[in-house]
Amino acid sequence: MKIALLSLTLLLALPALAAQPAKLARDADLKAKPFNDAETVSKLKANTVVDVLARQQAWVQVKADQTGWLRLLNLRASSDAGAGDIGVDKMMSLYFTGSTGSTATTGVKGLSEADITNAHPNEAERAKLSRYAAKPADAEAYAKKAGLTAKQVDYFPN
Amino acid sequence: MVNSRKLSHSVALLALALAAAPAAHAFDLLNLDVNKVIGVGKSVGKAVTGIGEPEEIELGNGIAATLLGAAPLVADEQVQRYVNRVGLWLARHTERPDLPWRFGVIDSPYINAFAVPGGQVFITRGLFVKLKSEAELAGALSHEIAHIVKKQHLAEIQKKAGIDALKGAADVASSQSSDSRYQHLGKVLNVGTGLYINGLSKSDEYEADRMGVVIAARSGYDPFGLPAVLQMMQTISPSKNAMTLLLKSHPAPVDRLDALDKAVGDKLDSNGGVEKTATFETMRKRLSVN
Repeated sequence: MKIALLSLTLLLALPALAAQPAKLARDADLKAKPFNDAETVSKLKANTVVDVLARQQAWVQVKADQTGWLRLLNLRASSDAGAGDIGVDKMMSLYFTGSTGSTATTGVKGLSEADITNAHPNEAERAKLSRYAAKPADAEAYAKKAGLTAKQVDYFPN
Repeated sequence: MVNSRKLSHSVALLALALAAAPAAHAFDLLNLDVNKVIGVGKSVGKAVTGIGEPEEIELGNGIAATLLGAAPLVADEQVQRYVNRVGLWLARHTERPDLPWRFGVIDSPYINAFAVPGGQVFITRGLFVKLKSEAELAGALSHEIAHIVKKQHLAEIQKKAGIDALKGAADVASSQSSDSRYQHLGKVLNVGTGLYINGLSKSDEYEADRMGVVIAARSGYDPFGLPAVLQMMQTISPSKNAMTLLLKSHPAPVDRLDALDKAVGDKLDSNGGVEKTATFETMRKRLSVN
């Protein structure tokens, strides 16, 4: 009975998104809601590893000892190096094994140090940029459609 | 728009000092005098003497042509037009809104983005597909835009190649459309492209990050896209070939996050802004391999 209940609880507790691990860069309060004045759920120490569930602007919902919110800027990658590798390998092999039938050989479509150092100008390619360029009216129309409202914000001092 | 108090002060000084100058652009009229007069050099860029806008654009075209000689643009007009609309919208909320801004997605799996003098910004396909939202794209583009607004590459090029390095650079028939049209730039072009190998100073990069979150915020985006991108970069094994040049030419993502954390703190908490758009998802899918 207890085991069945425990399993059910675990199943229900699984988040909809695949949780990504992250690590606290400093001591921080785990907040009940995504704002500074919210109730503190628990006090976490630097280097605590948490599971990231979702992001909302400056705040990230995490599962530590409990579920709560931490500041995005206080989080770093956990020590599980390579959590972000999968798509990267796939994309690289696409170009360097020619598996999609592209004419790629080593060095073509490359932006390694050697590729850039040895590159020669391709003026025809550069000239294409103007074909795709936007006019201010295009940018404004897009922003309006996307609900982007401009506002005044000062740069941060050094 | 920019801080209006600084702007009206600057405009007043400008009017006094340059009565006869044609007002073609916001700040980049006569390079030397404008930088001195405005004096609040922080907003406008380093005092880059002797390099006017036509010279900057010519050099930028040479650098852009060289980068595209290494890897071409993604042959997808919809994606390219999209990144230009987002990019220009961001650039219009800086101190150099009238540059001939051009944006491009480079057809390469390497994870990187490039800011080219004169207003050209490139992002690789490899980086684009790792982004999770338009706010993240806006953050990455804003960082690059900031480099150009602050003329950081120009300042480095001038330091390395000398004050008169680009004298006469713009006096070339613009009707020349061959690959050899940039030969007259000579060593300066090599110095320029070399900056993408060894990078700018760490303080330049931290500054571009600080400015980048603000440019995104000014444009109505959730400003935490850029830090989210830095965190994504930190999750990739540093030994991956796709990351090598990015890591060689920039401070480590963890250091950039530490610097941003220190500078921003909780100041952007109540900023709000757009994070996701359907258009971004469509474009990301077009570029994806899965």
